[in-house]
Amino acid sequence: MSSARGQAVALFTLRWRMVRSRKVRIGLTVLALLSLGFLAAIAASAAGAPLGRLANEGPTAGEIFNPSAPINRTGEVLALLPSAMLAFALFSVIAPLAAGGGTELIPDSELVAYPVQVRTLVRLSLALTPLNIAWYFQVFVLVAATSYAERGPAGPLPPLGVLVVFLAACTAVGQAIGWTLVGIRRTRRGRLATWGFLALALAVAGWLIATDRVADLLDRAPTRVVVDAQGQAVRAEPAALVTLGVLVAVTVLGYLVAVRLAAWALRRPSDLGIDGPLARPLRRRPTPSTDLAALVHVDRASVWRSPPLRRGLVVLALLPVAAAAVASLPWSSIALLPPLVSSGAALLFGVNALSLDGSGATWVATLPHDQALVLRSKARVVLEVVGGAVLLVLVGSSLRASTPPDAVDLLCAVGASVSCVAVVVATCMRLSVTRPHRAELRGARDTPAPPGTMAVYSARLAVVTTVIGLVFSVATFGSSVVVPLLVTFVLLCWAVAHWLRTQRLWADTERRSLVVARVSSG
Amino acid sequence: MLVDITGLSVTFGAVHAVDDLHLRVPAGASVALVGRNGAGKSTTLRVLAGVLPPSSGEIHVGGVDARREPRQAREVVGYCPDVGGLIPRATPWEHLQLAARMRRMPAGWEERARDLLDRFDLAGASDRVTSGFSHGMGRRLSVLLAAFHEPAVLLLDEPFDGVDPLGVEATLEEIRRARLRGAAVLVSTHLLALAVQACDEAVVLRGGKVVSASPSSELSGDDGAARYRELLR
Repeated sequence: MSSARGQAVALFTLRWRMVRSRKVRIGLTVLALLSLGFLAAIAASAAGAPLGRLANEGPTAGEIFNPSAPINRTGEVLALLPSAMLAFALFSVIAPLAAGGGTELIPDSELVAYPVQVRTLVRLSLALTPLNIAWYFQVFVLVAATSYAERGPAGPLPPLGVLVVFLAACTAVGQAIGWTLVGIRRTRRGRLATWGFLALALAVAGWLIATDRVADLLDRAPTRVVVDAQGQAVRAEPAALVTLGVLVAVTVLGYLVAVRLAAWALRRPSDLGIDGPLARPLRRRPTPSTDLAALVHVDRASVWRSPPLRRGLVVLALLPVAAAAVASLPWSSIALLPPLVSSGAALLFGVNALSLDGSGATWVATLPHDQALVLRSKARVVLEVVGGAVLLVLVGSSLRASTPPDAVDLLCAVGASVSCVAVVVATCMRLSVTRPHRAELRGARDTPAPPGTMAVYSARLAVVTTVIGLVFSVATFGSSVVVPLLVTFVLLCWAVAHWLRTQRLWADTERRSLVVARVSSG
Repeated sequence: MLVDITGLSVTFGAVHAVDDLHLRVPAGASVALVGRNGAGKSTTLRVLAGVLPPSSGEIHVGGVDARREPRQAREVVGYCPDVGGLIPRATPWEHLQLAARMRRMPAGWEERARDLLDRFDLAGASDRVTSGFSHGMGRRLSVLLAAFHEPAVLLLDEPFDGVDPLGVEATLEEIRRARLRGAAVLVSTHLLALAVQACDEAVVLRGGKVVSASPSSELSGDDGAARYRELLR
């Protein structure tokens, strides 16, 4: 049997060769280089940013006439850095939990004939972690904050070194916790316990928010130790090595425990066959009264009966709302939430919505109905999921906003939501028709497209929606109601035009048969 | 003729999956399409089912020009695909509801649905999602769905693959019933004995072309099997 390292390299090579399009390969390489390049660029520019006077000091005589004079905000950034690190640590636990243990390079069902070691699966999952856009975004923020706030003669590298080890430790421990949950959830009692724990966690979070204890809690975040170690590294104090050593030990231990727990979780007998949703008879509903309603009924069921989609929807419904409620955001920041949530919701299945029918797509194509309805039904379900998630976060963040809104604030928040939902749904449907993939969406770690493709999709959606969010965020500082209305109108027009073009593509028999063949049999 | 194919060709890039195929199936007849992997059997059935557009040729099913009126053609056809063909997270009953709705089946379709589920031994699983089904159960449900609306043209692609003897009997019985009511049946299979049992005529395909069309009895027994092997070479 080959080593775990040899297996990981072989599987990576196989996955890379499975990317048939040269353009896609080039795109993936460019994306990887750009991702690293952006991190290096933000570190260099944050470390070189002029500091100027302290934020709590009055301006000097010269600065009164120069409003763009720099202000030293390192103190504020240093105060917030432990909270940002804690958020990353929490995300590192939640991401593998939501993904059913970790990210898959190749679906389990395609590897059953090969003696792939558990260690290989864990290593691959760890290596694929940066492909998550939310992970990358948080790392981007932490790199920028560290480079800006932790300054010393040796530049940003010493504190960034501490940060890198911290990121590795969180990711390894997150994997271990993720696999623990996978194992626990293999029995009915374990699944009930998980829901009970989630309810308890939500209740505690609600109590902390209601009693305004969140700020106190964050001030005592254990990640302050890491920030202290970064400061020690800047000053070249040997004490930094102690924290660094502990973090390295946690990383190694986290990895070893993750391998053990993954082996336990995958070996543990599952009662899903006799007690799970596959074996349980489902309640019959009346036959829908229109063709579209009948298709929507089946598509909606396909979403809610899929374990990875259901889990993703729960995370998406709870996490951003909780974060927005904790943070008590200003309206300029609330306008940035719909982009984040809409692209996350789209990545659950929207980017490959036609795969919901699986191999049944062939059978559906033989039914004598208007074929446009199939696409319309999928678009409606994507719209429900993306729109629902955005509505939840909008309402949640609005209720805990730091200030009461004026008309412009409200228009910007609603405009950002409507525009992002429309643009994201239109983009999803386009991708579903032009880039179909076979996706089971059955196992806890199944994704609607291969990992590299998902990384490209998430980057593409994140860029588009973030730009939209920034436009509306900036508009909150103005006093004109025309700007958000106009931007919303333009984006809605773009989305409608995009959707109409996609419908025309779908109307082409050859294109449709190609999509059906891809989603039904790969 | 309920199935009338003239000069059908299907190409995928440089590959000719079906090459100038001619085939006619009258009402009440059943024809077996046999041949090696890649002979063009499934592709022919996919074209007849309206899933795949032909590159050239004339295709009439139930008197409808399938190229010009694909939606009307789908109304008269019932198709069991060679692989899967089921929505993974829908139940058999939901498949039947969707088919009944889309095919505008009259009130009372539930009775036929229940009868079919009983005959194919799927009544106990009618409200479970199909992704938990065994391969044989999936095949049986695919045949059931193809026959549900009593189509004029019944297309079955590998209906016996992985199916237990009782399931095979139910499928053979459904083919017999379809023929009795005057439907044309096309069965693609690698199981020669069952092809002979289910159909009166056997068409052997090789490289997308018809190499032999004869009464299926000519392919039965050891002599028939030997002749079939000759035709495949």
